[in-house]
Amino acid sequence: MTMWKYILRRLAYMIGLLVLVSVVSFVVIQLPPGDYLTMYIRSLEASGQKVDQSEIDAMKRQYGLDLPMHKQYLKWVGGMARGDFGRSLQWNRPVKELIGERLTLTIALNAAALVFTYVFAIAIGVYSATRQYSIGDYAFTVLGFVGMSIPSFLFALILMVVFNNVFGLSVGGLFSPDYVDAPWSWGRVADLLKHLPLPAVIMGTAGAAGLIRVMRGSLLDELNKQYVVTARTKGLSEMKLLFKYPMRVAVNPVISTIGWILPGLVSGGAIVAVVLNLPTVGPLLLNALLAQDMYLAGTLLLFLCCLTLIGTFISDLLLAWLDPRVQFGGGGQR
Amino acid sequence: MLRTTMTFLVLGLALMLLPGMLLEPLRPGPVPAGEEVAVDGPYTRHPDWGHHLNLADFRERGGALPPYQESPLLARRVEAGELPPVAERLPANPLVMIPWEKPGRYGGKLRYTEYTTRYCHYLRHLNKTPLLEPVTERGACSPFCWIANRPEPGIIESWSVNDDATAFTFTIRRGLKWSDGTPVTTENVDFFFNSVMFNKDVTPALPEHWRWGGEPVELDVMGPREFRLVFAKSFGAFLERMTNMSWAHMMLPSHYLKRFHRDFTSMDELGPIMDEHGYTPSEWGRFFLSIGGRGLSAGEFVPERMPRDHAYPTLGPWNHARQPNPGDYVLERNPYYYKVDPEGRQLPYIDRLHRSYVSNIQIQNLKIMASETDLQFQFIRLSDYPMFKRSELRGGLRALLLPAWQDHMLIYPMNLQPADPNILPILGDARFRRALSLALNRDEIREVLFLGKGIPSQYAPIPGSPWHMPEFNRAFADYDPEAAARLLDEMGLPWDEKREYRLTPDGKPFTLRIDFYDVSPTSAPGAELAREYWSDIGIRTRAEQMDGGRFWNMRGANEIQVTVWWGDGAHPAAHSFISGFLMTRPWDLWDKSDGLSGEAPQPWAQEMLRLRERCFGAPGREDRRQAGIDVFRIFTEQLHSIGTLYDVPVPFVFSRRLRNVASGQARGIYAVGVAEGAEQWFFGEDDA
Repeated sequence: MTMWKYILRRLAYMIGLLVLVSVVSFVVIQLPPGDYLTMYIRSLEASGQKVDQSEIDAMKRQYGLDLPMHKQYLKWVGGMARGDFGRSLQWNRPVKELIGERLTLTIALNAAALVFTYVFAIAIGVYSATRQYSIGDYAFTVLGFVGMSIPSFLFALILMVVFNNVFGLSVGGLFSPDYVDAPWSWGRVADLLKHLPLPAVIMGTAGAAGLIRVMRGSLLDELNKQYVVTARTKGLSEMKLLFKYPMRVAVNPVISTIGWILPGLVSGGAIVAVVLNLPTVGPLLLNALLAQDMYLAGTLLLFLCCLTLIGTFISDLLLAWLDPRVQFGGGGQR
Repeated sequence: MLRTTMTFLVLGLALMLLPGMLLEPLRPGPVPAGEEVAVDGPYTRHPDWGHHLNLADFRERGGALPPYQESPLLARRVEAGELPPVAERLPANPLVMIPWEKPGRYGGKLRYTEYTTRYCHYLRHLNKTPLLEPVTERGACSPFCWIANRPEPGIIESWSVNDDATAFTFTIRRGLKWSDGTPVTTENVDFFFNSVMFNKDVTPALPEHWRWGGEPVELDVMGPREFRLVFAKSFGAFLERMTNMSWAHMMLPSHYLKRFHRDFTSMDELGPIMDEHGYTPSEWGRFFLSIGGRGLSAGEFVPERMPRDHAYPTLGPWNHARQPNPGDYVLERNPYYYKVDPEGRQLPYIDRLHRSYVSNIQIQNLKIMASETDLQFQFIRLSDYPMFKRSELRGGLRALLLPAWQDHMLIYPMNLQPADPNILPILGDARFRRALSLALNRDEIREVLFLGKGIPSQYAPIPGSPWHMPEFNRAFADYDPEAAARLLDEMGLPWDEKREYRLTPDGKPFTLRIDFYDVSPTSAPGAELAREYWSDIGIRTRAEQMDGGRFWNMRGANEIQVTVWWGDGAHPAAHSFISGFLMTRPWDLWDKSDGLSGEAPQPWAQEMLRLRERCFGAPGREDRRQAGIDVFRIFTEQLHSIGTLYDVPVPFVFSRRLRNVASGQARGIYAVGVAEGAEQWFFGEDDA
């Protein structure tokens, strides 16, 4: 029963937090001087177009920027209750539609990056730990450090040029020019699959490189422990020995980061996505913030906060489920 | 240990070399010359190339239109019964556009990319449809330097002006139709003024040109195609202004918009539509604006801001057809477009435009190198030109250098009334500003920043402009640090003890600030060079790059002293003036508020403001020319901005198969001006 109470209380906190977050994100976006329109007018002016005051007044009215800030906020929040997240000023389209369009691709891409990270990091980590100080271990160590220290945007640029020159893959984006506008079909999916590995590898590299070190280190710790030696002397096969116990312990740091995965799935790799010209949520958020597109930026921030909260909630539950020492309700028994 | 180190070294080296071996285009080297562009065609040397002629004028010059022809794309739709035949779609008086080189053939898709979502500058030029066409010539283009443009027939087929330039009578092109086939009449003009411009819910304040002389312009509808506009005061440059106005600045598709307009459709019918779009009944004005009800003016070039409903009728060569992804647009030819070539083919030749959004300039450059685009001419960098030239040799693209519409790519506007009391008497002294100008080594700037292109000059009209006078270009434009020093001595600015920097007349050290943001790729190096030249003559300077928002805040607080900008040198009325007094905030305020706030400018500056008024208003062209020359005569004395070079080019990258483009280079047309001839571009059968 305590567990249900705990869950309910956590949910209540989450709702309160979300309301706070919505206010804060709305205010923070508006903190820089000016608003969307002044940014827009400035960019027009810098490009040589003179914007008449009459034009500005008309646009202010069109976008509702002539309303006081609290009314703008209430309008946004009020709409949200009806599932209407407002209109993006920059794109002149409903925010829901904009995010929706990009969400599938974003999740597919980030999931691919995650799979790459975990598969390679764990496999290489295990290999390196079991064959410590071999040529292979050195090779992967070098690769790991290089992967960790190359800024991902630079790596992205280099790989993009290489892929274009050597394999003739179209530059940037997730589709070839022929498929960009095409409706979904098997051909388009195949085309997407062709383009997915490059960004997935780039986005996964830094994470994988870090994780290799973690895996290698924690597995080495375990491998040198008494129980492993004992098991080995008892004649347990090397494979069974490795995967039965030390692996389970060594994988722990990986599991504990699961709570962060949810928001990362949506906003991960924003800079890489900008460099690679990917139609994902990251660049959308970046642009919205730069342009002070408050409804789009606010909704995205709120969405990410929501996912973070849910992610932490899930990982708390998982932790409690995995580790009996964690208690619901926290009655002060320590 | 040794083994470990060696392994690391070998692997590390291999990793570093690998990309180097694969990245051919990053290799530095000299700029390849590239081959001469063949631009010969029957019209290349024709006296009327690029002109727009009414049918009668075309016939008078010996032209005869054979039966009209159309794109196979449209012919199929005619066959299917979706469209009337081409002869019925074209106006009774089509506008004959003489090609730049040769008549073309139909078909193809023109692809280009842009790395911004805020505006769509390409479309602004490719799809421009002005009320009056400007004559295509050096120094002319519709959006910018319009005041020097020479008007030709466009949407309006003929016009007349009374002697004092207050009443303008216009005739709409006979048989002109909207892109849905509905005839264009004065009813569309009436709707524009009476239901949109003069409706306070939609237009809170009238733009300056519709309240010229302080009163709203008066519209007289005289017939189905004739109307008259009457201004309260002479508006001599109004026809020139019209070469800068698209159709949506004077006529709107009322048959389409009326069903969203409160005056024509009851709120009972409108309510549900507005509700569906998230507007309450009290927000009708907002709703009407959101569907593009006010025309497309400032946002007209931003398809994102265009009506979502692609049925919105237009008059341009290409209409919005689809938005496959946010930021990507496909435009398709307007079946009712009113221009034909001299052989009777309905323009445009190219069937589709395709804009794709890329997230940054590097992607755009990579697309150029991979030939995944057909056209790039704006917001690309002169410094990347050598790279374009190198990829030209192996790709399907060609790169030209064309004049930038910013005739002066690098100028230094100054604030003559800055808030800082130490700087005020110094910067306010014309001798100081002349000294700053004399301290610039323009030849060196040209080599360092502009690949050796451009002509050293003061900020003044370029050759070809009606206001061009060689002495304006030469004024204080020589590199003469000694003369600069003499001017500073004359002002009584003493040296400090180490003879390193000058002090204020009362012996205090001072630092001149150059605050700027990235209005052009050369802003930052330009500011740095100025800082060096000016410290050479003993002026301590600090150059700081900042964010545009902060810059404009500082400008609002009158804290800007010197900045870095661009200017267009063809005309004295708009930008040279704006960017000049733009920085002298108290004067600018005074001017905009009719003297109610800000500070009264010095007498010479007030004289300049009066002359600018005449430059727009005076009925005679010669009067307006003289007023502009007087503006620059005062300017070269007072120097509120310092110029460096004119005729700095920008790269223009286009598909090798694209024709009627390349002759723009020999003719010295602005890059954007070349793009305004897009309806007569076509894809040739092979690489030329």
